[in-house]
Amino acid sequence: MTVSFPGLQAVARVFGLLGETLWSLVRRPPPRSAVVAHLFNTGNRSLVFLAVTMGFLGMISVYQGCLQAMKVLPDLSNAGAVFIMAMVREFGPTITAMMLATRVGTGIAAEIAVMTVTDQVEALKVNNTDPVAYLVAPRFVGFLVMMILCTVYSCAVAILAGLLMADLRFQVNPNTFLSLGFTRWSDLSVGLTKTVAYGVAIPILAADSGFRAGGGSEGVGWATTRAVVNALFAIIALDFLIAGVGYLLVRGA
Amino acid sequence: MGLTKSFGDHRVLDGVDLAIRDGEITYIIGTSGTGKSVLVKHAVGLLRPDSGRVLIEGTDVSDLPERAWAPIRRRYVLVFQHSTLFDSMTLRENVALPLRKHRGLSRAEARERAMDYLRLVRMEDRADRMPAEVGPSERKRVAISRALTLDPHCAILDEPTTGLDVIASATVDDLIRRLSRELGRTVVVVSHDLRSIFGVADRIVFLYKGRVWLDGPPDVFRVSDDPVVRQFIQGDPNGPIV
Repeated sequence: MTVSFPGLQAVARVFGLLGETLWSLVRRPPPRSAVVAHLFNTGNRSLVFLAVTMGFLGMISVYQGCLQAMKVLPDLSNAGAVFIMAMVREFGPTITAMMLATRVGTGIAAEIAVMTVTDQVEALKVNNTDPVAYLVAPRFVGFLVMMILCTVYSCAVAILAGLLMADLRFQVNPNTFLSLGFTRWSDLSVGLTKTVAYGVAIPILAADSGFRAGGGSEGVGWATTRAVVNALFAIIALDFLIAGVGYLLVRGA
Repeated sequence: MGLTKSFGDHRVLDGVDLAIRDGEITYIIGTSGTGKSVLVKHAVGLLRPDSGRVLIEGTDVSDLPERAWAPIRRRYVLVFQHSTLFDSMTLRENVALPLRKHRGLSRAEARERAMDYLRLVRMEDRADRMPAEVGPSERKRVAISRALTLDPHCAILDEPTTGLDVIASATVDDLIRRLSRELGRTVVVVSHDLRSIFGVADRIVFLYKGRVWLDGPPDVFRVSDDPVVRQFIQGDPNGPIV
C-alpha cells in the first residue's frame, strides 16, 4: 500500500525548485540583461503602487494609534518611536511583500503558466535550455534584490506619511516623531530577515504555480490564484516564525 | 516496446509496440485523446513510460536522467502542436536559440546562421518580427526551421497542419516531403489531417484504445474493411468510435 502526503510532497517540490534555482545561479548566473529587465519590472513598476498603499497605511496607523493613545495618556512624544519600530520590524517588510506578491508574483505565475500550457516550457527542454535557469533564476534575483530595496522605500514612505499625519492632526513635532529610541539593531535584523525570506519565497512559489498549470486559459487563471494564495499564506507563516524566533533569540534575552 | 502511460486513472497508452524505420515518413494518426502526442513525447524524454521500454538506435533510454537527453534531442527533434515559439524572442532569436544552446555558437554567429534556416522556409523577410506578429502557418514554418538547425536525424512534427488553411497546409506538406526526399531525414508526423496523411505518408500507424490498431502503407488503409479504420477515414459520426 502506498501512502501519500500531498502537503509534504508540495513542500518537497517547492524546496526542490528553490534548490535547483540556487544551483543554477551558482553554475551559471543569468544574463545581466534578463536580471535588469526583472529588476525594472519588480521594482520600478511597483513604486507608485507601493507609495499609495504604504502612504495611506502610514497615515491610518498613526491616526488610529494616536487617537487611541490620547484616550489613555495625552502624551504622543513616543508615538513616532513606536511607529518606526513597528514599521521596520513588522509592517514594512510584511505589507511590502503582500503588495509585491499580488503585483509581481501573479505576473511571474501567469507568464510561466502560459508557457507551460502552450508547451513552451517543454520546448525549452527540447532546445537544451533548463527552464529553471532560463525562467526562474533571473526572476528570483530580480525579485529578491527589489524586495529589499522596495521594503526600504515602503518604510520611508509610510514613516513620512505618518509624520505628516502626526504633525498636521496631532501637532507632534517632526523631530520628536522621527525618533529611533525604540528601534534596536535586533528590530532591524528581524525586519531584514523577514524581507529576505519573503523575497526568496514569493518568486519560488509563483514559479511553482506556473509550472504546475494545466488545462489552457483556465489553468493559467488557477495558477495565478494559487500563486497569490500560497504567497500570502507563506508570508503570514514566515512572519509568525521569524517574529517568534527573533523574539526568543534577541528580545527575550 | 509495450509502452504504457497513465495520467491519474486514465490509461492513455496501453502496450504500444512501434518501430520507426529510417528515411520514411511515418504518420501517427487517431482520434483526439488517443495518445498520439503522449507517444511522441516519450521519444524525446519529455515523458517517461509507466512500463515498457523506449529504444533509440538500440539503446534503452526509458530511465535516462534529464541531463543525458541533450545529445538525443539534437538528433531527434520535436516540433510541438502549437509551434511553441518563445513569445519574448523574435523569429530569428527563436531559431538561433538551439544553435547557441546545442551547438555552442556565439550569439552573433547563431543570429547569422539562423537566417539561413529561415530562408529554407521562406521566412527571411520577417526574421525580426515577434511570433505574435505573424500568422499560424508562418509560426509553424519557423518552428520547423528551428528544429532543422540541429541537422536532426529524425524530425517529429506534432499536428503541423492543424488549424491551417489549405494553401498553408500544402506548404507544410511540401516542406515535410523535402525533409525526407531532399535532406534524407526520417520524419514522424502526428496528424488527423486526411488530405495530408494520404498525400505525404510512406507509412501510417493508427492508434486506437491506447494500442496500435493498424500499421501499414496508405494503400492498406484505403482498402481496409476494419469498421474502426473505415469510420475514421470516412469521418463518419456513426460507428464503433464514439
